[in-house]
Amino acid sequence: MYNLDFSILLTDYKIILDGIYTTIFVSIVASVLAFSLGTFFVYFRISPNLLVKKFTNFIVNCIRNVPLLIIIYLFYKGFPSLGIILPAITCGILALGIYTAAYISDALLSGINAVPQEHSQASNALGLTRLQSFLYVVYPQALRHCIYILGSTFMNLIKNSSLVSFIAVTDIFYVVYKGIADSYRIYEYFILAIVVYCSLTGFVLLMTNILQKIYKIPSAEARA
Amino acid sequence: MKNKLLLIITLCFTLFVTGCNKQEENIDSLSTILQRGKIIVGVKYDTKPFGYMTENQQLVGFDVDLAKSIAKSILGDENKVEFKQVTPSNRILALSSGQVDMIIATMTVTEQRSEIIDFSTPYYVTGQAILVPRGSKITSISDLNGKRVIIIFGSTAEKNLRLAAPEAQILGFKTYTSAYSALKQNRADAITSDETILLGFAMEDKNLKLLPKKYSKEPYAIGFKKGPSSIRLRNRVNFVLNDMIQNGELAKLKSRWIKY
Amino acid sequence: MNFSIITHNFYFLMQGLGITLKVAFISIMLSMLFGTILGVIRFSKIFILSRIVGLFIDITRSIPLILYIIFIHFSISPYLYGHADFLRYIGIDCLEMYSAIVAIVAFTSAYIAEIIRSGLQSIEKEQIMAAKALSLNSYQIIKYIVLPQAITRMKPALCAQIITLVKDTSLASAIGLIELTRATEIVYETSLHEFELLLFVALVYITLNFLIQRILHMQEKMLNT
Repeated sequence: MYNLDFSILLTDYKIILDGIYTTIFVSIVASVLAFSLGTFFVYFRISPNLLVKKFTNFIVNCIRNVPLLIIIYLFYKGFPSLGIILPAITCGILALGIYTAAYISDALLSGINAVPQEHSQASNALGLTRLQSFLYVVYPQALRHCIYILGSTFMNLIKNSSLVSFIAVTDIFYVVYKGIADSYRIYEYFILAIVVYCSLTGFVLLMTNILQKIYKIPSAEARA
Repeated sequence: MKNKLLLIITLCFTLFVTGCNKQEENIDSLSTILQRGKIIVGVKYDTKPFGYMTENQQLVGFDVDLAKSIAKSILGDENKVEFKQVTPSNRILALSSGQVDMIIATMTVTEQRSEIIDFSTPYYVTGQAILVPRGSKITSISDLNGKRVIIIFGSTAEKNLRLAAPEAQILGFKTYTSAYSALKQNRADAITSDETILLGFAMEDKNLKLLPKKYSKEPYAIGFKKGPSSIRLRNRVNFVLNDMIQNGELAKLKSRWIKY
Repeated sequence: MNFSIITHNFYFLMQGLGITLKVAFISIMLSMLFGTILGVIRFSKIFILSRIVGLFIDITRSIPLILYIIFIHFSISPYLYGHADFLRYIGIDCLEMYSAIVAIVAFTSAYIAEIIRSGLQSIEKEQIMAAKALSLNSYQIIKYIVLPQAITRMKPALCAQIITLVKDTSLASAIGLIELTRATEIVYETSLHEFELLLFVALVYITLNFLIQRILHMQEKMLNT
């Protein structure tokens, strides 16, 4: 019978901690990029200009229909043949950020649609430009509506960050794959990976729940 | 419409479930091979000069020819062999899952591997070496401290590297070709692997140079599935290998493929 | 920019696309089946089963698919694949394809189970109580009240999951399955035209997923009339 021997994890603990740190770093930086880019996309998707709206919709749909792995390879292997060589971690963060930005812009769009039209009309009447009314009135309210789905997108980002190991970024999945290839101790490394990913996503879930309680939307009072 | 969907689902389910009867346990791989009439060998497809594809999609190399000679001795015809591609990270898996009868894939004999698979007598000895770009200042393994070094997942090169250059930053790749293109794009400063494999790259590309010093002894041997089912096959192959060493055939193969 | 490399290897790339479609199709069928079973178990009131299945679903949804693929390929496939010769007749002819399908099915079933469970739960209890008051029996309640509404609510999420599944087949390239992504890798490893090839592959995926979206949309329109 297979003997579970966790000592192999103890001997490698430095590499494992390094991997976890890299995963967290890549996830955080990519999510900041994704969030900003997603906001940028969604601003154009609610534009009254039909051409701009359709064009941005088209781009977002294209990004969503391509596997993340192909986007990563485009940055890492495709761009060098055009002359642009970026370090591996940058490629990974850019690819991850752009891919998730498409999903975030979808989530924000649903949140914005939940904000009543009267708000943007009222801010227009008060003389705010479209950008100002978006940034100061509509957007903050939209965020409240889509806290849960943004949290779940962030969890997906953490799971997708495992793909950067394909281009030799030493995140936790890379450490696990290398450990399995070198020592054939499959179960120990698999349990390690499960523990790490479950705790990361569980932490995000916890934060999402807390944020949702703090920014709870008061249930619709009786519309007078 | 719904009934059609239900029918498709039931069909797929039965396809999946039926036929789960246990196959006859292979008592002996040698008799299976004789019965089947051909040997299935796992070789590398991307490693000059041991197993690689030419431009017209032909598989050639030292290991390939070795497999053909073994087939000739066991089955009488050197074409009664089927090749499957393996890489350092999946070759042992291919063996233990029964996809191949044996692997001839530049595999070094190590104690760790001997616990999982059985080896034949070694057929070639090489050493670990370092490949760097032509203008590089690296001249020995201790120079690799602080530099970015590439190793291949599942190979034996990392242990020596860690001992001799503990400060080296190690990047791992799954295939030799991706490692090679990473070196060319200056994403790393050196590749360390078996000398013969790196020689294959250095001979093709004048911008890379192979450092002359070898850092370990790496005996290559043929791998077999562990256990009693492969004992007869292993003994037979050992017999063939010893024959080839004695009558000079192995030396002829070496001089044909490994020119330096 | 040299696009002739695409035409030279077009046949090889299309073979890869064929493998992708085969894996995707088999995985969709099987994961719909298992996902429905798991979702119904999760929704049922049998405490022990529901909890065990719930644990499996929660863990599967927290870890990346690539981890599943690697784990199943290195530990479970070698033992199961040797005993199943019939798989060759359905067209699963290599170990990698088997591991990929098993992993993708296990992974996607957990997501589909969640979709089904939330779809079933979203039917308000009042409707069921009203149906019972009108003396409909359980079978009629399920067939005429629960199922139509639940399926309508689950449809968008299921369609999105199918598209995600097609994209996830690209991950099987990590274990060596020669599907579209891996086929492109093989072609550009021996040439210098990575950018053109990757652009081409991205276009193929976009077109493929776009077509699938259209087909699912048309089916929905057909069923609604």
